[in-house]
Amino acid sequence: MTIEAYFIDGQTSKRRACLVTLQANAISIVYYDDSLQKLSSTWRVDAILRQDLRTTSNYIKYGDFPHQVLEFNSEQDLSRIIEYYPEALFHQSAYNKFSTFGWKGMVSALVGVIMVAVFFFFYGVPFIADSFARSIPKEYETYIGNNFRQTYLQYQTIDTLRSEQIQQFYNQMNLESDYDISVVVVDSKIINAFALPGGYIVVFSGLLEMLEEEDELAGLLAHEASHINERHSLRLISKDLAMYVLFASLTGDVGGFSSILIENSNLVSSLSYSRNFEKEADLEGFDLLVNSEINPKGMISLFAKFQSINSKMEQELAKKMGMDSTDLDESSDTAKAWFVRFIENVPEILSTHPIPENRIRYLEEEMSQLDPTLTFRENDSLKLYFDKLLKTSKVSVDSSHLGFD
Amino acid sequence: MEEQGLNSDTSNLSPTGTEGAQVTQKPMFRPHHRITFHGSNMQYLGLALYNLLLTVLTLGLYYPWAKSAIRKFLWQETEIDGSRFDWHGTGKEMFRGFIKAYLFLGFFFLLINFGPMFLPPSSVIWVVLFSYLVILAFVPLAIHGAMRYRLSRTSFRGIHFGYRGNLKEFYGKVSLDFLFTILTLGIYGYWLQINARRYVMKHSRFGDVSAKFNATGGDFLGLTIIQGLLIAVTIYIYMPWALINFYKFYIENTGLEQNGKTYYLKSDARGGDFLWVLLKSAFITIISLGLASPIASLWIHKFYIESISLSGEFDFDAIQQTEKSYKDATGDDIADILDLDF
Ligand SMILES: [Zn+2]
Repeated sequence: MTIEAYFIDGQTSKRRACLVTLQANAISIVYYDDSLQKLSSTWRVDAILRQDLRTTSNYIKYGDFPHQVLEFNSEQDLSRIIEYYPEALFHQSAYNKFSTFGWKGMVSALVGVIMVAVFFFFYGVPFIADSFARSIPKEYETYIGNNFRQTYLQYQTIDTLRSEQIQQFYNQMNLESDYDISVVVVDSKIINAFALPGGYIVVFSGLLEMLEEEDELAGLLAHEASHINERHSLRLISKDLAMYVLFASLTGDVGGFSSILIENSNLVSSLSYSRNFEKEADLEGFDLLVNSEINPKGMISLFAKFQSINSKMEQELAKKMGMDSTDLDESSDTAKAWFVRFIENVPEILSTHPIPENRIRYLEEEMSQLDPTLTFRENDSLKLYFDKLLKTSKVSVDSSHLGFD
Repeated sequence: MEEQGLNSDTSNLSPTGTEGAQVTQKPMFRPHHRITFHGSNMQYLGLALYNLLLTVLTLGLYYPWAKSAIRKFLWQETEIDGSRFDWHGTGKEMFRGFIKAYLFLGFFFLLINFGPMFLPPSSVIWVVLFSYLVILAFVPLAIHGAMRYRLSRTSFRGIHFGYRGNLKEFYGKVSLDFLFTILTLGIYGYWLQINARRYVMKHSRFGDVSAKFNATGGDFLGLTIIQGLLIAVTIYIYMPWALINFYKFYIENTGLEQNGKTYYLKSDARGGDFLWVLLKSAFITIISLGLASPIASLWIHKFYIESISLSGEFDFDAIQQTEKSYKDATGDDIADILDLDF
């Protein structure tokens, strides 16, 4: 078979018209140089350089640098060569095979990608990250937690007296834990509390103002202690870190962009992850209390409190918007009612915590399953420390945030 | 097909082939060389999906191969004066550069993003600051390595491109400009960028053809001020036109020097057309939930690259291979380490 083409010798870019003859294992090329001398070149088919991607390009290359090039007049001419040497290596590649699947291949690739991504996203990565976080030595965890605590407390006022009192209260509770847990009260109007890795609990004084019974404080501390026992915050960080590495390697972008991506696309999964941790902390905190013979009902009354404040704020907002309280009934479906409900109740799916209603529901279910013969200790000593704590109370509270982490 | 046919065909073959016809026309007006791009949307989409699949399956390890294949596709589908460009880089080469860049940069990015959690509070600020400095110092090295790699792996009609910049010299120039930039509170940054580009262009080769970049930092600052004002006055509506003006600034100040004569590239891109391409791209990306985003990016690429033309007097047939001697001069291991591409 003979094909007209252009030959480029690798020394200059000059295209020389040539005739290409296909033989069993070689291509012979006949062309003329500038002094009109007839020249020829023979390409061994097995030394033609690989074109591992099928594009509309119309050339093949041969040999070591500087390569010789054969440029054809059309893609069809190149196809004739490929068809002539169907087994030759220069046009074989996994992608070329894949591309012959056409639409079916693309769709199955797509389904494959989505399935693999979903698997890694929801199972693989959390699992690896979780195992990693669990395997970190306790001493190092405490070190990290201490870093966090120092960084955080730098900018806060610590209430030393109440910190001592709450620590005594905590010690009196006698909860089971592998960690030496230390509790700190921070002066703040905000209603909040959180736990740091390695055994640190921070309680905002705003939250203390809301408490009326020692059981409630016991419930709060048991919840936070469970976060520490289960290494929840370390596991969350570790998952974020793993997501970062995954995204960075998938996008090849080690810098800024992927971190934005993570924050957005990781949000929903992170939230559900964190809601599960909160539920776990509620239930394990409940068990910790029962095991230490403390009545766990305080936990429920704490959430009931959040719930009632919430609905009070809802009604106030409704009033401000010129609605009366009946407008907020479940049945009322006006845009305003919807707006008020939306503002005051972040939907659970968008929240880091389960909604108080659900927390009360599953805790009451636990309560009903408790052995009725179970007795709780007379909490005189807890009450003593709790009353001390309340004595030093200050009044103003900012209830724009309700709850604890 | 038969042996005999060869002889008769050979005798019909004019010694200079179709080139002979063109030679006689040489003194006459020669039309501009235009770049055309032939990449098919579906082919590119398929390639992108294939790459995504393998990248996910290999937890990102396939990424350099994916990038190499995409580059090969873009190069081979780009045509000027009847011939295609070629990309000689391989996934393996890119993987080596990728690992080096990854280990190095990744470490410092991790330090910046997650260091505050693990490090003692008092040292965090210093560690983060140091990490940023290291990454900043890495930029000229990255540009140098990428230019060396990209140009040496690009060819046209068998002639390889090449980069002959000297890393030490480049660092010297850039560091001095960087110092001025700090002293002038950032204003000299316009000169920093353009001077770096001038240096890189000046040392870029296409066989025996050398490149140059003609604009100055002052031109760039002027352009930025005018375009910035127009964007502000029109509340961003002018954005596509401004982007095109910047693109034309880069393209039309780039010249190729052949036989002592410099031919500047031209771009006839227009803001209105660009806006249309952007809208089309946004539309297809949104209705496909992002799946067609490779097609959108291909449209934009095609729009940019097909706007480029070059004077017809530039002779694509008369370029000499020079890359070989260059390879001998610097083909050592240290240079290889700098062959970073990411
Ligand atoms: Zn919690």
